[in-house]
Amino acid sequence: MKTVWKVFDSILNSILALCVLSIAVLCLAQIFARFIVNSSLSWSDEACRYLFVVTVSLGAGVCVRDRCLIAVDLIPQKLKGNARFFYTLALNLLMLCIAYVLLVYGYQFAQMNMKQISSSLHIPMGIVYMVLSVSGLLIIISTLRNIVADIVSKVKKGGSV
Amino acid sequence: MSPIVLMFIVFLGLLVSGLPIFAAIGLSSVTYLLLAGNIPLMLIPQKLFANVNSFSLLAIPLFMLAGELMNRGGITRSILEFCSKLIGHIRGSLAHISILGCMLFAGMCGSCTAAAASVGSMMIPALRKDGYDDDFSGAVIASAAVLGPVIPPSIIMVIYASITGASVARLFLGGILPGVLIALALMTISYIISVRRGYKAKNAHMAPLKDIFKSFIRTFPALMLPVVTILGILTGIFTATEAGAIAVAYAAVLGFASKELKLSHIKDVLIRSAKSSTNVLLLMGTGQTFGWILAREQVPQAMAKGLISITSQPTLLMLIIIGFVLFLGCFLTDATIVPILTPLLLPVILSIGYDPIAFGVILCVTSVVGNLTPPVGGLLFVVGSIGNIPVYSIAKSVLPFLFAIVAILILCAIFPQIVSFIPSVLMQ
Repeated sequence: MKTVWKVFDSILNSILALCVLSIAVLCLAQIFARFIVNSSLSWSDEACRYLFVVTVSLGAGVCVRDRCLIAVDLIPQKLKGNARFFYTLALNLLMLCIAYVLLVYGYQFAQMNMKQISSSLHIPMGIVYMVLSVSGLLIIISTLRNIVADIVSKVKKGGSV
Repeated sequence: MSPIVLMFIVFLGLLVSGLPIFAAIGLSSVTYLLLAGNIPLMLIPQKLFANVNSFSLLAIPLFMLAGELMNRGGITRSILEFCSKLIGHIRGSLAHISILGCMLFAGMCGSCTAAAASVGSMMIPALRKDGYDDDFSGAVIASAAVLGPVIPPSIIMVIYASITGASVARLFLGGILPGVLIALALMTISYIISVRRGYKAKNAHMAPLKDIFKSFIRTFPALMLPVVTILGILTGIFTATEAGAIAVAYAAVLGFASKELKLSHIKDVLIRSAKSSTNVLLLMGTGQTFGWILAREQVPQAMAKGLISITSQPTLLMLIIIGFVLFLGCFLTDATIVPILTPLLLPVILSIGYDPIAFGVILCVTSVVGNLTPPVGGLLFVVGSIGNIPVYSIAKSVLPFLFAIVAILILCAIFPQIVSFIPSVLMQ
């Protein structure tokens, strides 16, 4: 199971890195085309924006996994032992709620826009919107993994759950 | 209880609970949407998408990437060497070098944590070796890092510009003079403390002009980057986002040329920039729904009326806003404060006829200063973890520096010309 997650994580990380790299390269290509080749690229602007949507959507899952989202974590820091365990569990359940909204309503939003075609890349907007739904799914996966990890470390420490 | 009141209560509760802030904003919006009825929850993914789907916000990951590349590529070191040649003979020289170094580094990166991490990781060991007290070193680095987003480029100003539609170039240029004033104020405070605590200068005399010149030539390519990006944006050759891409390419070329940057660093750097921009964008994206709800309930108008009923005197109003933002800064980060407050405060600012560019710069800088105040002070934690210095000791020693920066901000609020002077000269 551990290797499966390792592969999963490294794939996510690679996609993330690739997206940011492509954004930088596309932006440069856009300047190059405009000034050196003297004909503007019609699709690079849109491609960059959609890549950024992918970056942020997948990045959301990765940030939840690495627990590096900005939060005012004064209360969880102060708690210890059982109290901290159950408190973190409650926060994780709340996280699942917002992820559920993204998953379900992102999917509906995508479904509604399958017939709309993007202006320069000519792909259905629904596919682009679907990334938001995937984002919700990734946040759910990461949150569940965090919950399991918390329980495992709790059991290992010998505390009763 | 009306849905909007309940939304605020849920928001404050979740915010304090320690839930990631984007989820706190999102869930409180969900509460409102469910209670108000007839508004589909689809609004949340829709607004999130609309916010991220913006070419101008792409500047955020790009400038973050450029800063990281600069740091890995050994450019920070050559900048600091140049500073040391230039001002190494002044009492408390290492503190001055750190401040000037942060200011020059700020010309290449747009975030305060990047400036603190890169300059701090090089200067704190040096400061410690020369007998500076840890609390002072930490305070100098943390407060000087505020310059990161004040001197252009600036990620927080890109955020402000995307919300208000203000010109990024004007905001960037507006940050220069306040940035220089803040640097001078910080140096003055360091000098006074150095005299009191008996810190010496690193070099007995000023380095010979030939040495300074040599070191200047070596740093020249790095120092030229901000000039190139600003000129490019000003003349309209490229947009702020494209300037970010240019900065990335420039930093990568310099880094590879100096052989300090390795291909193996690249993936790590890319992922870090993706993660930090995700953090900012999620906040802004859910903040859009929040803002939509506030507008639907006409909260900004009510807020404007309330504030103007206190005083319609622009300067006084700005001082109240600065105080309020500093208070919020104790609990929230700059990237949270600006997206939430801008739509609320802008109508007030426009109705009293205060310059929105000066307001933007002051709002951005004040919210960045919030990173210096506990309990939630990002810069204190970054510097504390880099230098292995207790956070509370930095928080205490940072106070004189904090007051100096706030004094400069108040000066800017009273004389908004300090901000608008350079943009008005360079742009028509």
